[in-house]
Amino acid sequence: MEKKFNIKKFLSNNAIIILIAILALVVGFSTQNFFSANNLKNLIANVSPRFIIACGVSGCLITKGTDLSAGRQVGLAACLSAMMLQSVDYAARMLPGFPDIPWFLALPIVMVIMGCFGAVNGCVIAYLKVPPFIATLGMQTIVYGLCSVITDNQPMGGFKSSYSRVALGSLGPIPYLAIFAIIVGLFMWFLYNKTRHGKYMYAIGGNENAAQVAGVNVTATLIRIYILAAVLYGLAGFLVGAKAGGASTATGFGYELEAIAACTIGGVSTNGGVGKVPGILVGVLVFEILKICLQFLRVDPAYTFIAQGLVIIVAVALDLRKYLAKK
Amino acid sequence: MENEKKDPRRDPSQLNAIEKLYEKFRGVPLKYIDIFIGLCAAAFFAVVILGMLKGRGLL
Repeated sequence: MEKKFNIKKFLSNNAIIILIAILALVVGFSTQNFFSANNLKNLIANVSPRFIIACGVSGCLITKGTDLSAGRQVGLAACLSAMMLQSVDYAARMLPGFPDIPWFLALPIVMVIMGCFGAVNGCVIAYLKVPPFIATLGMQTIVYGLCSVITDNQPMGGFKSSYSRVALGSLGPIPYLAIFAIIVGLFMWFLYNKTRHGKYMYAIGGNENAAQVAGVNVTATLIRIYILAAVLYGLAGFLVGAKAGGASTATGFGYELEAIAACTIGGVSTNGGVGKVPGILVGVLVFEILKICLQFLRVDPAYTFIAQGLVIIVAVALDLRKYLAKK
Repeated sequence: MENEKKDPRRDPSQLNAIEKLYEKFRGVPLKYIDIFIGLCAAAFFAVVILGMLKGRGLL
C-alpha cells in the first residue's frame, strides 16, 4: 500500500521550518551579504556549540525529562576552561600558581568535572524520583552560585593562543568548531540508533513502567543520560569560552531554553519517546537562522526576544496539536 | 490486552508533567489550536515589522 502524501500533515509537522525558510529567502534576496561565505561561517560558529548543548538536552527530553541547568553548566564549564587556560604571563590571572597545561588536557578535566554534576542530576531524578524540572532547576541555581564563588564574579580573559585557535582555526574550509559538532552529532546518532542505550532511552520515553517491566534498567539509563548531557555541556562550555575569548558568570545564560526550543522545533517531543539527531540539527539551524535574519533586517534587539518567544510558543503549540491529534 | 496496546499511557500516574498539562487541552477542538497558531504566526510577522521600524528609528 502506497502512503499518500498529506500536505496538511506535512505543513503542520514542518510549519516553523517552512516559516523560517521563507523568512531567510526574503531576507537573502532583499539584503546584501546574507548569502555570503562570512555569514555562513558566522552561522556555523553559532550553531556548533548550541547543537552540542541541544544534543545533551535531547536525551533528557526523550525520556520525558528536561535539563534547566544546561545553560549554567555551560557557563561553569567556560569559566573552568578559562581559569585553566589563561596565558601564564597574563597579569590578572585567576589562578597564578596553576601550571601551564595544554587545551587537550584541560578539555577532559572540564568534561569530567561537569559529568559529576550530571551524575548528581541523574541520581536525584532516578533514585529520589524528584521531577526533572525541579531537580535541574535546583542544580541551575547551585551551579550559578558555585560559578560566582570560584570566579569571585570576575570576568576572565587573556587566553592562551592555542585555546583561542580551537574556536578560530579551521581544517581547510571546515572550522574546528564544526568538526567538534560533527563528531558529537555522529556519536549521538550512533548512540541513539545503534546501541542498547538508545533503545532503552526511547523505551523509557515511550512508557517508563513498560520499559522497567521489559527489563530495562531505568535508573542506570537515566543517570547515564544526565551524565552524558553534562559532559556535552562541558565540551560546549569549553568551545563557547574559546569562541568568546572570555568567560564570566553570565556566560551560557538562557542557553537551556534555546536548546529546548531548538529540540522542540526539530521534532523532539516534550512528551518523550520521539526525537532524532538530524531533527535537532535542523531545530538549532532554524533558531540561529531566525536570529541572523532578524539582525539583517535590523530588528530592534528588544523585539528580537519577542519574535523568538513567539517561535517557541508556536513550537509548543504544534507539539500540543500533534499530541491531541494522535489520541 | 488489546486496549492496553492501543493506549499504554491511559493510567494518569504514568503521565509526566507536560502530558498532564497537555491533557487539560483534551476538550479543546483542534480548530482552535490551529487558529491560535495562526494568530501567533501573524503576531510574529507584526513584531518583526514593528521591530524593523523601531530599528530604523521610524517608530
